[in-house]
Amino acid sequence: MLNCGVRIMIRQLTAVLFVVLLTLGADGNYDTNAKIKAVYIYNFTKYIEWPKDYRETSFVIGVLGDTPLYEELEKISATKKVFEQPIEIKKFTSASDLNKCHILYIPSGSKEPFSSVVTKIKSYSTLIVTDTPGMAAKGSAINFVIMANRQKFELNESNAVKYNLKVSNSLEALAILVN
Amino acid sequence: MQKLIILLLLATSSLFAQTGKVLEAYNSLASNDLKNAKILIDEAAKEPSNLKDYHFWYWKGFIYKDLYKEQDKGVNHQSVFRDEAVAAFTKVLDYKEKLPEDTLTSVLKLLSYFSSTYFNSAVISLDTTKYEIAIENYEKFQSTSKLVDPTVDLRDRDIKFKMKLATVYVALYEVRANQSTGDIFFDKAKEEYSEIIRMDHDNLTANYNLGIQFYNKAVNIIKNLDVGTSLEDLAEKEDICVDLFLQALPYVKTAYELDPTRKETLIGLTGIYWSLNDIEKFQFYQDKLKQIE
Repeated sequence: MLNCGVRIMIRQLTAVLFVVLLTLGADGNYDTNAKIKAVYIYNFTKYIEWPKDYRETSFVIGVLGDTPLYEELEKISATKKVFEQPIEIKKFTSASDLNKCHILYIPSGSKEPFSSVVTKIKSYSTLIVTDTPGMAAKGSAINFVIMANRQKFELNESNAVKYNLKVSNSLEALAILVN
Repeated sequence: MQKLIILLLLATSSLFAQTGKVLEAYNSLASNDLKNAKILIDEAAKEPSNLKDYHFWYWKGFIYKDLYKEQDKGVNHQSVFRDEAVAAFTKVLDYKEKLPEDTLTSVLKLLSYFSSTYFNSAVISLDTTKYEIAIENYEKFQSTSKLVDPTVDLRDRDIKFKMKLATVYVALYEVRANQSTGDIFFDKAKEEYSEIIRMDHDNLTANYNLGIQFYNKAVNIIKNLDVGTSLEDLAEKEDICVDLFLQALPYVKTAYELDPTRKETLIGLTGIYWSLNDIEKFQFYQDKLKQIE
């Protein structure tokens, strides 16, 4: 038989919120994949050499369509530079809006035909980064892939050279090479 | 007045067969001079023959119980008076075979009272600053309760206490998540939840909390990743995080099996599978989540 004081204390022990709260982002679970990809994209700038006339004014990272990566890239642009160039993040709603950018990220599920993207940016030195299986073989320089639950990336150097970009050997060593 | 009546009743019982310091201590207690009663009973402890006499231990316990009630109850959750009283009454139980029934009943009632006070002290102290005092008191509550009734089942209370203790550790971990000391509390929380699951495999809250603890740790690592992290270091951090997400999975899945309609669990599973880049399973649980929303 419990005395009254103990019963009150047991209630007190039970009444407290015991549930560990999830670490959430603004719209639910925090998007860990977006953050990791953003760190990758920022890192790519250390391994790619753009033509001289691209090393002035802002360093433009474009994203085509809606992607949670945009917010993460925006955060990076607020604090980081690419060498001396401030970073500018541009969101393009369609391939027809595309213009000069240093990196263009095309998320998986993009409705824009890849050929339309290429037509629009072929005259620029743009590193095309995609997120769809097989895209490194179809025209992008870097394509995010998943291996054993981990974010990895494929590199098709010829698709970088085509846009007058020079790829460091160190990046090749870290990538899954695609011809 | 009530206390005086109790003492007079005790005086007529088998407990009052004392002379010397123990008698003097009793007289001081009866005249409400607790300070002197303590001095006298402590002096009586210097006499070796008293240490072999349960009457001495009983009165020592009684005097220290009154000291606890007068000075420490409700304010000092590490009361030495209480511990001394319990130790003295425990000593009385060493003479269980020759104890008169009324004495045994009285001692068990007093120990039961102390077990309640230890429990209350444990609950009151169970926060991020006094949790060590809480653990100490809870252990004393357990041992004292078992003295009163060796068959007592404390499992439910043990689980509740461990659950609250684990959340205290999680809170301590969260404020130190980016410091080396954070891991100490992470491990302590993990140990408490694991222990609850060992005691009660189907404990939904413990399974969910332990899983989410692993998940949150991985998310915090990624959230706090410095953008300038090299690709080599990034790969290492990813390995650590994937391992944490995989550790989270069985516990959150158990929580899901225990209640497939619990929203928080489904949110947890979508988060884990998304982070593991398992889009098919992410979609499966995302659909389940939509169904209940």
